[in-house]
Amino acid sequence: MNHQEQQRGATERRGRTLRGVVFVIALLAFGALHISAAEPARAFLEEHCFDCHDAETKKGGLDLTTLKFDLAEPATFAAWAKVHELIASGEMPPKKKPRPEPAAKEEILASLAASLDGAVDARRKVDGRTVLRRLNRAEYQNTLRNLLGIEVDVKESLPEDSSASGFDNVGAALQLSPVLMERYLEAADTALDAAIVTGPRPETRRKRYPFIDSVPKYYRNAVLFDEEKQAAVWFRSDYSPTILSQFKAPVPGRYRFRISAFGVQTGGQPMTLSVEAGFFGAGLGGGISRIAGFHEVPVDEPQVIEIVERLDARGDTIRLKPVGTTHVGVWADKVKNYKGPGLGVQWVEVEGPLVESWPPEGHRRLLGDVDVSRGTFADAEKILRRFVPLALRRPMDDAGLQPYLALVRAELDQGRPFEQALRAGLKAALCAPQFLYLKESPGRLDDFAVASRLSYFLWSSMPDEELFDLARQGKLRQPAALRAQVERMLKDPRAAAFTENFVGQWLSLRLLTFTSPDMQLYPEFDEFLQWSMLRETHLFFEELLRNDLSALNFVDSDFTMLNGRLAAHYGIDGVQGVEFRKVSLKPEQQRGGVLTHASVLKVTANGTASSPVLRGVWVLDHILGKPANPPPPNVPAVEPDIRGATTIREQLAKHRQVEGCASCHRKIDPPGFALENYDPIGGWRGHYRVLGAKEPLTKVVFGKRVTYGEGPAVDASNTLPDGRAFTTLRDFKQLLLEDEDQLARALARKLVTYATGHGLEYRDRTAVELIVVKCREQQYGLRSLIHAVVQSELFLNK
Amino acid sequence: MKTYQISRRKFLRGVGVTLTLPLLDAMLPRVFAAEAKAGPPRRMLCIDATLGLHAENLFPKQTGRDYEMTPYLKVIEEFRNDFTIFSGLSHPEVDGSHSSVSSFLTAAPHPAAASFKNTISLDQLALEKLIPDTRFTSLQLTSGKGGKGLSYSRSGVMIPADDSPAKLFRRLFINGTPDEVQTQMQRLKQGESVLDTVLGEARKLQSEIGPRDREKLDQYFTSVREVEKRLHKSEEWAQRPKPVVDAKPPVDIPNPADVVGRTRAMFSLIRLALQTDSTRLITMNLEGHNLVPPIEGVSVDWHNLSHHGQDPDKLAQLRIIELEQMKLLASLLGELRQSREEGGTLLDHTTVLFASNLGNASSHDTKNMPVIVAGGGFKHGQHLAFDPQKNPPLCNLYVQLLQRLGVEADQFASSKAAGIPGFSA
Repeated sequence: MNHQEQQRGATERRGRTLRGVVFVIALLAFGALHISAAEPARAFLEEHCFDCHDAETKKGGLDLTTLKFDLAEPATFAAWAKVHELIASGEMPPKKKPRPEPAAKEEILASLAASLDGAVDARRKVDGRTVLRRLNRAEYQNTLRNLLGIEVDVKESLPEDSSASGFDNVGAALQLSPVLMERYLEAADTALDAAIVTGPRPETRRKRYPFIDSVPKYYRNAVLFDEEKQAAVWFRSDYSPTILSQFKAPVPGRYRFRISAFGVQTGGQPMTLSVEAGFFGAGLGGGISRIAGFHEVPVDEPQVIEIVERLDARGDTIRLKPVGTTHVGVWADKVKNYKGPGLGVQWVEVEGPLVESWPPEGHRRLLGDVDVSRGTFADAEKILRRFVPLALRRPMDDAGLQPYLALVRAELDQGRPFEQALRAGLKAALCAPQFLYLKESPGRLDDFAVASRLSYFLWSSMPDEELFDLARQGKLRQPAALRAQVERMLKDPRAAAFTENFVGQWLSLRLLTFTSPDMQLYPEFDEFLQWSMLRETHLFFEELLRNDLSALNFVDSDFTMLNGRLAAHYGIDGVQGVEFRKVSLKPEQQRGGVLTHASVLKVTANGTASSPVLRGVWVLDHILGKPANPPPPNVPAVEPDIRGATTIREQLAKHRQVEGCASCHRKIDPPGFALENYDPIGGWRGHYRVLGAKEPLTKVVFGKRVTYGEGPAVDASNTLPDGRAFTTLRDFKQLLLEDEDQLARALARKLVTYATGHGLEYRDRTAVELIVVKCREQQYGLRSLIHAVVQSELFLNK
Repeated sequence: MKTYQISRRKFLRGVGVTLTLPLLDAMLPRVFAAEAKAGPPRRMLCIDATLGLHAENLFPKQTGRDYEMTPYLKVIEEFRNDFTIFSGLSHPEVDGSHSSVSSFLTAAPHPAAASFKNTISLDQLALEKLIPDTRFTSLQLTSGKGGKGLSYSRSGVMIPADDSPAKLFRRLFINGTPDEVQTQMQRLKQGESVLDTVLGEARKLQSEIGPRDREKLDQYFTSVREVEKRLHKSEEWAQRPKPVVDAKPPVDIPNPADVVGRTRAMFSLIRLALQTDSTRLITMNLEGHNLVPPIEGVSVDWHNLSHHGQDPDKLAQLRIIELEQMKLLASLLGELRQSREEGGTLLDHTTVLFASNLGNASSHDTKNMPVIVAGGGFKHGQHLAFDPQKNPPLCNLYVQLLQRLGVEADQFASSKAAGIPGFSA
């Protein structure tokens, strides 16, 4: 879909909007009128359903003749909700059976809907829609950091959270266990250790290290020494023990690194290098490190790169590696005569730990001018009076504060030193349920609950002073204030957490590193490419968000965000360098929309081969919003065969001959096959790659020689269950775009789930429909969609 | 408010002993009865090799006692009468490819589903029933990084696994200085006071929320009360000296790819922990990864090899890695069998479950899981084979493992029977 097509006639849009509104109003009216509706018309069920769904046949395990109409019982409710859904969608009665009269169908749907909604409303009056929600570990860590002004890493010490409805901030899935409680006690200690400093200001040092001194002895014959530039020069990019071993962080903290580096024999091109930070074991592969960034330096002219990086542990340092150079060892005599590209590094200068003020900002904010070596109860009271309400995210009267004060007093009375006694009070606040859970009361949320919903939605952290201020004034829930706050919050750097956590889960990007491709079949894959994949999708999302571009761009767009590495991967000319930029796409480049992002194509691939089944299931759930049923038990999975003997199409065709499989695979396989022209690392393919071919093909991708055999040709054509056929992904995307509302609806549902920490239920369809209508009025703009979600009754009610 | 808290604390402190007495009472008859009959305590060790074991190299063609050795079983041949190999078992409705690790010891259905909620794992259920009076009620270990373990609490929350043998060794066997013990005692006591306060806060919150949220908050109460008990117990243990072992403290291997080295270090600690009765329940995640293990002849990353797609070169490399795993098992069994204790060997009193959540890793198939049970005083030496099309639940076997520990159970998770025909103690 390109943008011109999106700009359809205003008249048509008005018509559609009107239809939508009428539909919504009709739904709302039914809900209001039929609160105590009776059992659905038995006549309809007898005529259209009992044939298959009686005690005898019990098709699909459903016997409607005995299914009670007790909607307070969750399982029964779910069964009737499913009945409504299947009749409404026209899936039931099945195509082969006689069609019900439209009027009769309308009638049973309306009466069923009214009863179902009535039952839900009754329950929600008491419980609200959402379930009490614990902070997940990312939120917990961000909250501690913002609350105390510290940079601790406690996330890894907490057990991984489970998720529900696709997100790990959904209350129903966030359990609490004794182990977690123990870890909270420990994490509170860690956080307070970081927040309350007692020692002298750590000394900031600056030192320049000639890089050649850091090259280990055993690797010296793979490294040239450039006398003129006094620089170490090396060529190999995958294995590279080029750690700045002369430097080890004396304490955790932020350090400034200045690296003087240049490219060698690059044919005039700049050289890319990677900087990793962390702890490196001796030699290959060991340690715990992360990529701190990729940078470019010009050929032959040393240039200084400056970065500031937090090192989490004592002993941490950095490693430098050339990117996109040879993977073959260049040793001894070969080094001198080697003509390929390499990296030269003169020196690295380290300054740190960088201490902005002492005691640090967090310490002063927490303690004011109280000296912890000789505080009094009155000092503790002053500290807790400010801290506890902030931690619990609500104003608090004296009675509310009392338990914390009593605890500190009891500790002091027992002769504990002031700091210990104060810490007991602070620790209690950090382990209190009001801190660990988001407290919301049934009905319309109060201002403070809205402040927390907003901040955990857009920042994955606690509200800031401005949100609290508005809440205290009782102004936050006004539509204009909400709007202004969302605008402000999205511009704040903390909003990076929204991209990372929402997109990371919506598009499964968190799984990007879960599999690594077959290095024989896909030798062009490297860390830089993987890093770039993630950036493309994050930046694409942020581009739509910033400029309120249509959410339909997720399905098809005439631009994407690229750097040189990714452009080379996609076969798009004219883009160089590490930096990302917006690039216009031509149809023949076969890109546009997240379905063509290498990140998405990689996470939907099955380990080392791509699987139309996995991809199909993924598209149905994440993009189309019509998730497939899970596979029935005892069905063997389709085993990929990379020897090239049979194609996945042949295997799946066999699978679909089985009647039990066909009903779901008719829906699953087509969107999967539509992506078949993209390999497991997101490259375009006309033929499958195979190993062991007699006449392998060779090409060079981003400096790397890639050799593989050409297998059978790819066939991406298929037919949707409703009979619409397509031959390529481009056609398939156009078919998806025929139902723009459904695409917006699918995304709106994901956003509401994430924003409210609760999956969507049947009852929520009207509220979602209102969001879709509002979003459509703004040409499906992504930022408008966020606003519509925040202003919706789903967001503003428990 | 204040009076209430102090009285509650006094209650806990003063009546602390009586408070734990009912628990002791409850466990005494069972444990003592079991120990009187069987001598040393019974233990269980559960290991999951998460990337599977290639079936053709593992399962014998024949069933019963006279089966011919296969390439993998050959490695543990000297223990032939100390283990049983099972084929054709699995967890019904546990699908979801690699996510099935989560259900390995719980059998909770559809681990990859969006609405998945886990249930209590085999070892934690045993712990609840037996309440072993050991320094660590159970241990969770992993050969990987990131703390992914196999044990799940009653509310379905994963208990993070230890990945550092050096740290674990310190916790098990190194006594702190008097100052350190003092500081630790203070933190434990302070923890108890903090928990008192937050329980009061939870009660306040309870009165302000709806019934469904109150149900959710119950987890908070349960967890806090359980941690109170544990802190109390930790105080007791903090003052008792740790066992002395004749072993050098291990050095951590930072390279996450070095699965062999990292597993070997954990296995040695497992033997020491069991032998000193520091714990009786251990789970170990022998975690597969997508790195190239530093083993001669292996050049492709492990996860990739497990998706061999019948490629002969990949199968050959996979075999090298899996043989290394079998060798690790052999040396573990050897260590356990060499440790003699009253009434037999450590192996006789330790049930070792060595299995995988994947039956066929290449296709992510969770049926026909490879399962080996060694030791524990069972009658071994057979290949027990079941219908590869209609697998009986693996939990039938799990029930037997529970019973062997002294748990009175005739059911666990998806079990349909309280045992496996042909397998007995």
